[in-house]
Amino acid sequence: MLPNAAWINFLRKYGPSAANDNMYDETIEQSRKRAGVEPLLLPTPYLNDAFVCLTQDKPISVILSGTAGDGKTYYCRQLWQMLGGKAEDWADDSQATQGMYVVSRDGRQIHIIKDLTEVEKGIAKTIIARMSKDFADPSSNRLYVVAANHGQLYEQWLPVLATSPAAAAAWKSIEDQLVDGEPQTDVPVRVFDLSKRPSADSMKAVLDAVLLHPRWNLCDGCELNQQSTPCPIVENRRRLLGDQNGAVFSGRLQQLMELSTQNNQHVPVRQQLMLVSNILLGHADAKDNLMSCADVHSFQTNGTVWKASPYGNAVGENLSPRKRRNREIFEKFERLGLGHETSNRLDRLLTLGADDPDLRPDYEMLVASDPVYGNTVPWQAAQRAYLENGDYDIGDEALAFKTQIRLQRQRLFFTLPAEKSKQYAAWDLTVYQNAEMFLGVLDSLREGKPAPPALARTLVRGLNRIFTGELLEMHDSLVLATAGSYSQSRTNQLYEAEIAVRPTRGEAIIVVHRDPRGASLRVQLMRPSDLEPVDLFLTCLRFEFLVRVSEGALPSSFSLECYEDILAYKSQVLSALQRRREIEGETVGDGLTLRFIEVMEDGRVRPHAVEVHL
Amino acid sequence: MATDYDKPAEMPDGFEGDYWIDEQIWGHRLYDEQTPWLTLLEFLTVFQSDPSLMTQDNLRYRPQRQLRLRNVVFNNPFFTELVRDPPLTDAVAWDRWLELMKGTVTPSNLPPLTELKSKIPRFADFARLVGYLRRTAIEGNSNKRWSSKFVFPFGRHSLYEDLRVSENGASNDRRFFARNGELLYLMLARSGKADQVASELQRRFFAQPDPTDDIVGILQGSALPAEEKSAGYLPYKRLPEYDTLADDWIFLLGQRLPKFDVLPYIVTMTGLHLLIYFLRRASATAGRVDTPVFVCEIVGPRRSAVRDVALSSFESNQALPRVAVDTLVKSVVKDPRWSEALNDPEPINAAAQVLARHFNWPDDDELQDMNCRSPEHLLEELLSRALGRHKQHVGKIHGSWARAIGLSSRRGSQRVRYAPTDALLKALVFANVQSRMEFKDFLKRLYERYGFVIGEQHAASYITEDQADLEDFAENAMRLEERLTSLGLMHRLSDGCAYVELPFRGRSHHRE
Repeated sequence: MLPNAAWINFLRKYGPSAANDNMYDETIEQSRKRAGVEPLLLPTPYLNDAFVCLTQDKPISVILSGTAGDGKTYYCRQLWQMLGGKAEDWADDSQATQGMYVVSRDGRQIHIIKDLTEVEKGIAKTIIARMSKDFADPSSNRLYVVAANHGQLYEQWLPVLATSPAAAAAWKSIEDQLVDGEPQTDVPVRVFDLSKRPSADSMKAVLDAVLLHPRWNLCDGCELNQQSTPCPIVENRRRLLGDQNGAVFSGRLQQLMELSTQNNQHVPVRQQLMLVSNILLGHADAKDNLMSCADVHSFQTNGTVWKASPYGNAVGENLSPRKRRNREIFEKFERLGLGHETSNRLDRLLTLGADDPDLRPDYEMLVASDPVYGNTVPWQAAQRAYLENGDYDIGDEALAFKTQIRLQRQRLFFTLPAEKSKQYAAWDLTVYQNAEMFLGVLDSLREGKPAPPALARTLVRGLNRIFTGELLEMHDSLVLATAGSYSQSRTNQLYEAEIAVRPTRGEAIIVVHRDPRGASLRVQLMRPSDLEPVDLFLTCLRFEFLVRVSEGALPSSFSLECYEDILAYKSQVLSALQRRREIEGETVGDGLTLRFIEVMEDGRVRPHAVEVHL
Repeated sequence: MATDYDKPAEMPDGFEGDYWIDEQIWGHRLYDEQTPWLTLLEFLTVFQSDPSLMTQDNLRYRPQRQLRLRNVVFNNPFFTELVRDPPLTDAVAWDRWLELMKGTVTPSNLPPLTELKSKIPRFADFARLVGYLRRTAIEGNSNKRWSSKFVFPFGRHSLYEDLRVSENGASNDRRFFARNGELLYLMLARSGKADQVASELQRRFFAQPDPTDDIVGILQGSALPAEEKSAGYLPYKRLPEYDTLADDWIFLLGQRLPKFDVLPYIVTMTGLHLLIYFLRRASATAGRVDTPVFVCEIVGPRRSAVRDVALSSFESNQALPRVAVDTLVKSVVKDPRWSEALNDPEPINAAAQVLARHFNWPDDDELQDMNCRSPEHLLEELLSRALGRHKQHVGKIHGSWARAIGLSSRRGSQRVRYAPTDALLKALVFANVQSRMEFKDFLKRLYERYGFVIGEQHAASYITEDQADLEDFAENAMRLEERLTSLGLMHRLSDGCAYVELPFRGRSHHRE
């Protein structure tokens, strides 16, 4: 008997084999009803605000924008019900006129368009024209809720722009809200960009919604839970909940989401649901690579429970490379290099830890204590064979040493406890070796504390090396050097200026908080009232790049894109310098001087002035 | 293009060429060996002489020469032996250098070099300064003669014309300043926005003094009065191409960039516009109805079917100018006087006269030397010579400039096709985008303005089924998106909507 099979089947629908179709919300809803499962309580941060917009004294219309999977259709359904619409009417196409669901409230008619692309083009044009007219007419009693992503909005609005000034005004307000994020008051429509909500917050909410769902109780009585090998599904849930190693696993997932947001790569809720489903149910040998209750028994008996490792599943190890590449969340995670990156210390622990008496205690604590996914049979075999032969080729790639150690690295990343982080840096297992520092700085800034002064100096040292193309050891000031010709030239011989890091006469270089959750490096050339500072938004990638260069990496070896990026920033700083010179006025001496850069032995820079007499 | 057969071909006074054929189509003249950078430099010497940009015809100007400057910077191989460790004293070094310089070949009427001793007393500084000017020189790695090397255009003292220098004097042999820049000047002057271009140029480059330029001026010392010369000939009074060119210049000059950063973009876009002018005139002369386009392959890790289309696009444009010359020469038979000449008692002479009227060839001596059997034979002879001449320089313009601006490439293949480089893409973005532009709009603009076929929206008319399909072009556009993103020039907001943006969008609170 498999008491919870319906629930597990329902969870499978969220996994990576789910089709990316427009009817996603409806399909899930139908499946849920068939399984008799209570709905997941998914996060809806702007829902109340949207509701207020539609029902306040001077109500305004609402546009829900965002990428596929952000929950636009879900929000529409919630709003429909909050406004008084009947749940059963929602899925009924006959209840809609021209693609719009209409509900009356306070003497107004609220038209909900849950998917603009479903509306036929000719009709859409009319709707948009009418909508724009209604926006421009204060006496109109029609309100709208439109769900569409940015691209669709643009495509549908475009043909109407030319014919109607009201449409042009409406579009301008919408586009400005979308791109700049600033609320507009001239046109009565408010845009909620669902892709703006921080992925880290929604990750926590998604985890809670899935892991704390009451239906899990039904697993308690299942006989698969009473075997000598645990049920991998239940075991994975336990891991995510934080039964072992505290809440490191879910904490790391949230940190990864945070990094993604910082890299301007939003992760929509649908992708997060896919991730959680895959973590719980992933297994390379199962149908669609997702376990169902029926699979568990055979995995328990043939000893392949280890393939359900939630840590590997988190990066899509259970999927084929093609599938991984085609699913956004796993494609993003693949770029982290988790499992491929490592440090000597960590690999020594893994490979030698079982035998080396110095490493043994740590190995016990961090690996051997977990017989299900840590000290697994294939890992022990691969480890022994590697140490004895240097190579372990058994023909099955899944059992190969390089696969096994990859799984172990992934596991360590998600389980290394805080007290061991000084000794074994978990982030060394990813390309973002400095993520710990980065996230710490962001937290600090969010709480209103200033960033550590050493940080600005580190970043400046990195910038100096990139800006000048020389291996400088300078962190108290930012050296601005040019080629005299174009600023993007590789050789920079002319000394323009140095900007002091510590606040001096209007100059300063600090790390500042950037709403809502980011940080920027701010280079200030004059007091802000005289001249705006030049900010560099610190994405995780830029931060990593600058810190690595600061510590000795060659700029062109890490990321060419980053390098170009920083040179573009240099261009901006130089422009600001030019403006400062204009504001302050040039001092005219009795001769002409060009200052060349001289790099001294200690890595510092000195200007060498060449004077030419008139 | 309508040719008025009642008037003689308008050759400018003093035209010394043997034929008036390529010149009718494209002007006198466009030359393959003058790169876009040198075209800009030539233009600047003209502009410096006549900054009004108002002269649309019979342009005359006095370009600077700055010979002492060039002598010191480019005709001076003596630093290696004079800059030593431990260093010579300044007095010794200077004296030795002055002695060595006496042996170089220069015209004698230059301001004396001894002046420089008092301007830059420390010899090591002098060497450093000169080294700096060499390192920033335009196309500095070329092995051209010293009098054809150019310092970076820091300002008005840094501009001068290309020369051939010998003991007897210096003259412009039109080797590298072959008049491309003069035609560029005329095109800008004839655009509807000449005054705006002129004032932007003044504002950007000549209004503010540049310390390096001032130093360059000191190295030159006083300048000799320049000789006046007359510029080349541009056939068309008005063309939409002139306006698009001027628009791009104004746009680029208005971008917020450090002072000289805009120059490489102007150079690239100018090269592109001249190329477009060149191909469109060829196309019109050849009687084609469609304007030439550039089907571009955006190179990626996997071979794309678009490559074949880009190859044929390149090859068809490559052949176009020849077809234009062929069509032009053969069009003489439509002149009623040609038929009259055929019926003339001395048909060969009569035909020769008609040809001379149109094409400045043959003259009497040439006619004598040839053993011409008939007017048709004469025409064939002309055609063969015209094509032979065309092949030498004008026929190479398309290949040479497409490569120079980063439009064509052999990368990953044996044959040349259109495959834009990062540098060209950057220039296109800076020349068209001020803060942001939706990606599809950007593609549309590239197509309408320059004829770039990249995405599936415009590709339909240019592909045959066996070469590629629309799907391939859609992927081509996606590759462009990836390229621009990796250059920091693009930002995707959500499905289906991506914006081309300038890095940092010219504002200091950043939307990254």
